[in-house]
Amino acid sequence: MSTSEHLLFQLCGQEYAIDILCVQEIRSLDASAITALSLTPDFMRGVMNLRGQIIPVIDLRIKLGGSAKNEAQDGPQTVVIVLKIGAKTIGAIADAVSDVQTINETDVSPVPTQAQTDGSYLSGLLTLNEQTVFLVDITRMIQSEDVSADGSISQERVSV
Amino acid sequence: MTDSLDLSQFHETFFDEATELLQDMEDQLLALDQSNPDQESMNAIFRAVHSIKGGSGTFGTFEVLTNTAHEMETVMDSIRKGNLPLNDAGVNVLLLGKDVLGAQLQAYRSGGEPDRGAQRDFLERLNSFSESPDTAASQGAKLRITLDPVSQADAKSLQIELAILGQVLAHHEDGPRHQFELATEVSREDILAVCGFILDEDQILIESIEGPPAQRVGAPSLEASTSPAVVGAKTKSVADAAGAPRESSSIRVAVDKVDQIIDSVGEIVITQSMLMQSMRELDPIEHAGIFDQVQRLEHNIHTLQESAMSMRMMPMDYVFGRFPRVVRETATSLNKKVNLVMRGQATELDKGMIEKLVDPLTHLVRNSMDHGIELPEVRVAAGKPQAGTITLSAAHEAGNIVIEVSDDGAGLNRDRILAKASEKGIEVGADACDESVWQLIMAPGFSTAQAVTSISGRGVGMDVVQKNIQQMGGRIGISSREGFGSSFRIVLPLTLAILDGMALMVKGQRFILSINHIAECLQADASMITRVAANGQTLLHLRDEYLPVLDLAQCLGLQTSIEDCEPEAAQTLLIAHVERRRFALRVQALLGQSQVVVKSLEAHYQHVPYASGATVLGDGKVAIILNASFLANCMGTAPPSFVPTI
Repeated sequence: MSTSEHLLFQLCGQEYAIDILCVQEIRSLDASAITALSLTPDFMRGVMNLRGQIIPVIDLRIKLGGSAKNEAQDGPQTVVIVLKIGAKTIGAIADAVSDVQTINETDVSPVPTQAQTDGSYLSGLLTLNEQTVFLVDITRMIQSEDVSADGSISQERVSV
Repeated sequence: MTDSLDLSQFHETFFDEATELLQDMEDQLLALDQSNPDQESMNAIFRAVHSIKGGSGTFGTFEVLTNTAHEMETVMDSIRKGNLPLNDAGVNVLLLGKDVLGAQLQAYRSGGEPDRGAQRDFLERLNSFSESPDTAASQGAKLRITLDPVSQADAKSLQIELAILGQVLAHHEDGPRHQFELATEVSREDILAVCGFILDEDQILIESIEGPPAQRVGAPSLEASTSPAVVGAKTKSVADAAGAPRESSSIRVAVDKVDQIIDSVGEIVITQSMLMQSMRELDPIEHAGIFDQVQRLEHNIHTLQESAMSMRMMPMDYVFGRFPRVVRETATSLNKKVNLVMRGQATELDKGMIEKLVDPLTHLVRNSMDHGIELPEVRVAAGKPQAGTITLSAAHEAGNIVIEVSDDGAGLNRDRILAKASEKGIEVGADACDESVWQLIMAPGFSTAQAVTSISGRGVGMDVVQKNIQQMGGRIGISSREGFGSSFRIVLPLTLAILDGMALMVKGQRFILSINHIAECLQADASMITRVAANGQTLLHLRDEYLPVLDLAQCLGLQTSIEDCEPEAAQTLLIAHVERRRFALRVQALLGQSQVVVKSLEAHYQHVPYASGATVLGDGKVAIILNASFLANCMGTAPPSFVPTI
């Protein structure tokens, strides 16, 4: 029986959880500090300067929560969760962070196949304090091609 | 707990050191005077192999490397003790050994297993060198071959034949009597057989020479050797005369750590400028102390930034160091005599750029040797010294580094280039200036070499060289005079980490474009703009030119349709020249020129086609550095016009 700590956050009113070992820090969102990148998918909010490193910022509300681009409203609670996955550092926007919880593996039930879509990256779900929480495989999501391509693709100079 | 000490943490250090030792060994081998080897350099070469063997043996996991080094060490020990001769074959086999060891190191370093086939081949060659009876025989028996009588012409051709068999150390002529001293690996019978084509056996006398070789094998005889077939490259290093000390007082630091410091310093610079901005609200007289201290801080930060940047700098020696060998080998295969002169090896350049310079420079040097330097006979006929000279130099000039590859060869042939250009359908005026004619050789697929050789002549080279140099933010200029030689001049910014950029504004977003690509900036009024009704393309009429106008916002997808940009209003345009294309770039506003620290987008994200990087501006926000090639490609696939790049 194994347990692990998870960070709980909200996207469009729904609770999600990710492994806390992937989380480097949590910052409040300063929208003006993000430079938009055109010609990229909707969930790609842009890039920001994190202590000299230029990191991409993705909007989880669009990527996971299913919001349309204009729907996702920034508020005072909106945060950037800075994720450290492998050598990459990536910012992820969420509506709010709510808690850190120890999750017991036995409490997690598999996601019904009907609820699984290609882009959801859900690895399980459980009930915490009478609320349904989706477990997100954040590593798989970040390493997926549309978020961060590996060196082999990025080194290839795209000429249009 | 593990019962043995974990040595794997020291692997990286070993690899670094071994790589350095191998480079050192190559330098020593190439500088070695074979006729009179310096005991000190022989020892140094021996020590290099010995240290690699010892080091790899300690780890116990690099068996192939240890074995190879051991075998080499055995042979080198024999050479050192004088039991084996050190001749061209010996140097070549040792150089090959250096390559094999290098490949094995690389294989282990990347976590693989080295190629055992390559090792076996090399060991076979090594054995055949050390065990061949001819080699053994020749060690005490340098041969004196007396040919009597022989005609001048026959002597000449025999000398060429003998030079193929071994090394002609001396040649004495006394009427019809010719005497050669030959250091060779072939047997007397073979020499007799070769000479027998021209002479009778009774005209030939072969005797071995006794005594220590150094007595007869003086340096002058080598220098004075007139045999055209003795190809060799002699290297002299002008700057090395002073004997630049080799990193005795240095420490080894991972590049990551240095980059981390540079990043942090960059952050301090940004924080500093934010501090200065906030201070504008303060009264300078009331807070004179603060202003004074902040000013001092600024000065210190500037010094700190400079020293941090200098840590990434490496001497040009790192690139130049490999050329003695390249020149030696190319000269041999081309049957040409070439001296290499290097200047300014101590000139420092950013590590990232130094590594990218290796290929273009190698190409230029080989090109000069193949197309530039003539064959010895041709040179003598033209009244030039038999051996050509290739000069590699590096120097700092006004915030740039200038690297020059020049030769005293035939020079570029204007007529042939122009003929080739018209053959390729490139339009050039017959009265075009030389500089723009020379630039033609860097067009894709352009080669004036009559025959394709293994070294050059495929015409894929020069355009790649130019592309590589441009990617580094540099440019390449050619000067040439027929009969006197050519010179290729590469001008590069000192570091890749800093870029001279123009900040511009489009749709409220800030972008940076490298100054290198901007010819001029102007406000164009409606009279200068023409719209082509057929496709909506706008043209700028500037002086005598019509330039296509590219809307940056549209190109970057910030705006989906061509808005009517109030044709009456003045437009801010940049004249850009990228990869031989000139075009006007419409922007919203120009924000001014500044030096920016280039950061990678790929480190945490991925390649963005229109960005060549990003930078953090004074207010801590990110601006994208535009990729000029992408913009040029936005112009469609119009045929490149041959306006020389400035």
